[in-house]
Amino acid sequence: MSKPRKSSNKTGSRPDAKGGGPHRSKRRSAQRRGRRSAKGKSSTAIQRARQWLVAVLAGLAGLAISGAGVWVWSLQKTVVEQFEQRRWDQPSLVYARPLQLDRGMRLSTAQLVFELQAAGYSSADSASLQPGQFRRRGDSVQAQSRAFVFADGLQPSVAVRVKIAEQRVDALWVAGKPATQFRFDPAEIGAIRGVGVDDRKFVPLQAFPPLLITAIQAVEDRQFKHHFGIDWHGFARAVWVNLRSAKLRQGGSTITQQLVRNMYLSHDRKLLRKLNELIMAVALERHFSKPEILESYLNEVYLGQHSGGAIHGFARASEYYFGRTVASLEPQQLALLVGMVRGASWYNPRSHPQRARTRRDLVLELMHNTGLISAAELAEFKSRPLGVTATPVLGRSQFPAFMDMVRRQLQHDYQAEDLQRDGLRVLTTLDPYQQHRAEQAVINTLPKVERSLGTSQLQAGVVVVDPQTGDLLALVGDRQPDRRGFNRALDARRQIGSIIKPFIYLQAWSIASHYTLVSRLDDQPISIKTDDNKIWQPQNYDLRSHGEVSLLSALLQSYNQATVRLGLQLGLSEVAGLLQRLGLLEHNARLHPSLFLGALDATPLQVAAAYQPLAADGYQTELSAVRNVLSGEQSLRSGYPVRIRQLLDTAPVALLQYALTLVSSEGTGRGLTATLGPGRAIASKTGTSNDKRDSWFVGFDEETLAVVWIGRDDNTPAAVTGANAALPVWAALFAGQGMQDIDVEALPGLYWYWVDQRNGLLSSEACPQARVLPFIARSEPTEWSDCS
Amino acid sequence: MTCNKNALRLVPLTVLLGLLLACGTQQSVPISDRSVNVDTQPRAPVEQDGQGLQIKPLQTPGVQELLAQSALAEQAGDLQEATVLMERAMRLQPGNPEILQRMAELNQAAEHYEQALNYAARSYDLGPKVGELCSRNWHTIALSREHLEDHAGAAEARQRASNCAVQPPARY
Repeated sequence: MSKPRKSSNKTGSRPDAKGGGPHRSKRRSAQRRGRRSAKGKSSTAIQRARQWLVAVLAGLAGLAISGAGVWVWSLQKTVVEQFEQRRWDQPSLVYARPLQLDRGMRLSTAQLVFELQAAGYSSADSASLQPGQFRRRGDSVQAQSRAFVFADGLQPSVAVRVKIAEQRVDALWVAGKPATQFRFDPAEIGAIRGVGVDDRKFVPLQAFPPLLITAIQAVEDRQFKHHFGIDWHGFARAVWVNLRSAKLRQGGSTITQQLVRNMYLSHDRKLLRKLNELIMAVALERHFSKPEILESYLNEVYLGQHSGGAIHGFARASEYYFGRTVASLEPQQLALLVGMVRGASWYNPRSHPQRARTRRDLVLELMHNTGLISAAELAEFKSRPLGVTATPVLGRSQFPAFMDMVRRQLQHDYQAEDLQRDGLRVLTTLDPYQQHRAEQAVINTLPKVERSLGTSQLQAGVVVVDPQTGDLLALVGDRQPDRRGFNRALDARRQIGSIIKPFIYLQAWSIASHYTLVSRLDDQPISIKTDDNKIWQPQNYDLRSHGEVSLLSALLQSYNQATVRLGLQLGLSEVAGLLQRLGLLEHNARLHPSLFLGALDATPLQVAAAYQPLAADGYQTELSAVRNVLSGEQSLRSGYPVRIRQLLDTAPVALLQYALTLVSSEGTGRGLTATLGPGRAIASKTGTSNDKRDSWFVGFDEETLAVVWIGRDDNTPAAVTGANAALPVWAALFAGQGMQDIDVEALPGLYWYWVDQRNGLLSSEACPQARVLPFIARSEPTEWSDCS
Repeated sequence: MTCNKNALRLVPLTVLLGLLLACGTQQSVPISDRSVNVDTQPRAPVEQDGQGLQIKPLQTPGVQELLAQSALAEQAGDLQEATVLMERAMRLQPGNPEILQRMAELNQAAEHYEQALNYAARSYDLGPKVGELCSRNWHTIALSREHLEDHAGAAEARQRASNCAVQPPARY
């Protein structure tokens, strides 16, 4: 190593070897001064440069610190403001009508089990049933209902036993005591959610099981109660592992960090994102309490995906995987959900049951290690199966036609935004069993009809209602009922054909006492000059005329010529007035006599609405798919009460009901007897449009009214009639259901007389053609037949 | 031969002979007060008509329980809950005239007079047309018509109410 050279001056410049004398000395001196001066200038410049450098560095540092401060402040502001204003966007949940049991009511064991399964109940063999489980032993069914808030209040979870005998509820026990009635919690049938709104059900912290609250901390963040958003031990461990592996792999995230990540940040593994996460987690902890943070976490955490969107929060996940409320979950089920926090798709118990079980058991061991469960409990819980339901009851609705109706009805009273985000609970009128029956009737019958008629491409629309309350029980809008798209039950406006005829006869019986079942009509060819100077000559279906017939025969056989003559007697505008009141005809419609034969277009829903008063003694009630809407706070937001209005006189309607029961046994609807058996009193009417494009069948008993339409979407001839296409579908819907026949002898406002069918006069019971028929008071014949 | 078979709908028929003591005469209720107390108006007068032929509609035990719960809710002043409970009963027995009359009375209490009138009329159509229920039907109709400014119709309804008391046939 060389020595440093010594220097006489501090700058290290060498003295000049030449020179001497005073001038020289002066010069030297001047040179010296000059050099000194140059040296000084150089030194000052360096110093200045240094100062500038320091100042710039200080400025940059200041800027950096200020920037960092602004950054931190901005992140903190964001996290605090957004957390304070956080709003749990929740879809509105839509429920079927609850199964209401009444001792003595008609119900088969199979139907009861179907209803329970439709509501997400699972079969269990265990002696002690959990909420949402049932057990069948022969004709006895035990179940543990789930708590549910109805419009009339909370109904807690309770043990129920139902004994069925001879297709009826023979006995009922609720909470071990004999009971007279019970209402099960209803099936969830769908959700109304906006684009980007995840599937979530908000639950307050105190409503979560304590074991879940402790288990999630034991597994995800044991220091949660003590840290300020960051667990340095966990963080340091993660950093060490990550440094060694040169990649960010291990997470040391606290619950607070996870919440921040879920709510505000992406899930990528970049350092900047991690830094933001740390800052925001600390900010969250500084401004909010531990319970607030934990509550948000439990409602926010991602726990899976279904066709309708992402599932967030333990409450919704509990319903999705187990069909139960989170409060009712068993410890091993809680452990599974807690384990899924680490990777909901990876540990999905439906697609990866073994992986999920391993993870669940690991969580159970952690719970045991932290003293949450005993060793015996650990062994017991590990031995239990995963217990997830085979098919999720949530997600995309299985009943698109009905859900379509629900949306349409609600949009009158609710903004789409409210429905999609406010977490409303919509209690509808859907009867899962009737819906199933209607769907199966279409699916199974339509191919047979196509084969027997040599036709194809048939489509269907079905509407089933409770005529007394206006409840829409079932809707089918497509021959593939789960297919979304054109909803024929609501939107297929098709010519209704002869199903209009009952209204013509009703008009006759309503306005004049000289019209009775035995009044005479001419079923003869008729020519009518219409307003546009054209001649209209209606034909009968069989292209024959039948001469003088009774009103009853004309209706039973659906004679066109007799019906047109009756309509002309009554007046086109008068008949149109009735059709307008029933919602079948628009007020500004052009009237043509072909109206008497059903030359007007209507949807299956409109037809059901028009027939409803006929099945309810003349009282009209609006058809409704929704009965109550409850807010997330469980209070009633709006109700759709059953409102009735007397639209038609009771006695003429009763007379028509009777006549329509004869349509099913003797008239164009007699094909029903092949399926339902003879001697039934079911009211019905067939309808066929021109060129056999549309097939209609409407029928009702004491409890249910159903309308079936069959035809092609392109309205081309399809070889269908009311009797050969819609009737078999209707019959399949009700076959084996144990219908409630109309009690014809108790029809209100009617008086019964023996009459001679040949002339419509009073007769003795012994007359050869005598038949007992009902009459409206003071419309009965007064003359007697000689019976000859 | 003629026979009115309406009554066949109400099975079993419980004929209560007129052994109860009369409690006084019916008093008309002024309509000036728009707040309706269904206990003192449509119901109370008919309790005085508790004599004579009575036909009680059949009710299942479950329906009876719901009727009782609804009555309790109504007494507690919760008309909404009372109505929801009554609608549950109606879905179990939609043609039960007692339920329909209770729906009429609840609607009247809620000042929904049009609905009260329709429900009472439907109850009458399906009901026994004699005795206490018949009287409640017509009193409700009368009161609703008064509120709907149909005074002639109300008077007629009161007259119909007074015709509901029918003495049972003598038994030997």
